[in-house]
Amino acid sequence: MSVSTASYVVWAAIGALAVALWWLSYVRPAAVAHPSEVVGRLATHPVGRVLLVLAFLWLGWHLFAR
Amino acid sequence: MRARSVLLVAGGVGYSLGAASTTPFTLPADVLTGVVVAAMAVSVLARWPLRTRKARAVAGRSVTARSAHPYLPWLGLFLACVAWELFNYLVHGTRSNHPTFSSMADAVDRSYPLKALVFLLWLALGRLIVDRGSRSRAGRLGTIEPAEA
Repeated sequence: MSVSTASYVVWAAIGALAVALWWLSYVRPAAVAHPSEVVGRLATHPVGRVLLVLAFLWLGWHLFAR
Repeated sequence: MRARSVLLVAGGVGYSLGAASTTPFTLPADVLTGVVVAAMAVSVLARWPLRTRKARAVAGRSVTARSAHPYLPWLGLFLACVAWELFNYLVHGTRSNHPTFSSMADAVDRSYPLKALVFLLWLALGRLIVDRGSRSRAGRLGTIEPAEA
C-alpha cells in the first residue's frame, strides 16, 4: 500500500466513523448525541458559541473565497 | 410556513449555484462568500441572547440523567480529525502523499455540482447554528441569563 493510499484510507476511516456516530445517534440516543444536539450545545455555551461561529465563518471563507 | 421553507430552500440552492460558479481568490467569490459571512454575523447578533450560561448549572438533571457523556464520541472524532490533519500538514512529503482537508476540498472545488452542494450544506449549517443558539431555544434549555429571558 502506498503512502498516498494509506493517507486516504485513514481519512475514509474518519469519515466512516462520522457516519457510524450519526447512525448511533438514532439507534442509541442515550449514548451518542445527535449532531444537531452537539451544535445546539455548542451554540448555547458561553464560549463554545463564539468558537462555533468563528469556525463556521473560517470554514466558508477558506473553502470558497480564500 | 411551508411556502416560506420552500422559498428559503430555493433561494439557498440558487445562491449556492451562483457561488459555486465563482473562482477562489477573485472578487465575485469574495463578495458572494462575504455576503453570507455578513448575514451570519447579523443573524447571530439579532437572534442570539447577549449572554448565556452553561446548561449543567441550571438544568443539570436533564443533562446528566441521560447517560455518562453523549458528546464524548463526537469530541473524540473531532480530535482524531485535527490530529490527522496536523500530521499530514506538518510531515515531509508531497501533498498527494499526505492530503489535508484543504487539498481534498480543492479537488471537490473542481466539480461544479459538488462545490454547489458543499456551499448549500455550509448555508444549511449556518441556519442550524443560528436556530440552535436563538433566544427562544436557549430559553427552553435554561441557558439564557435571567435578565434576558
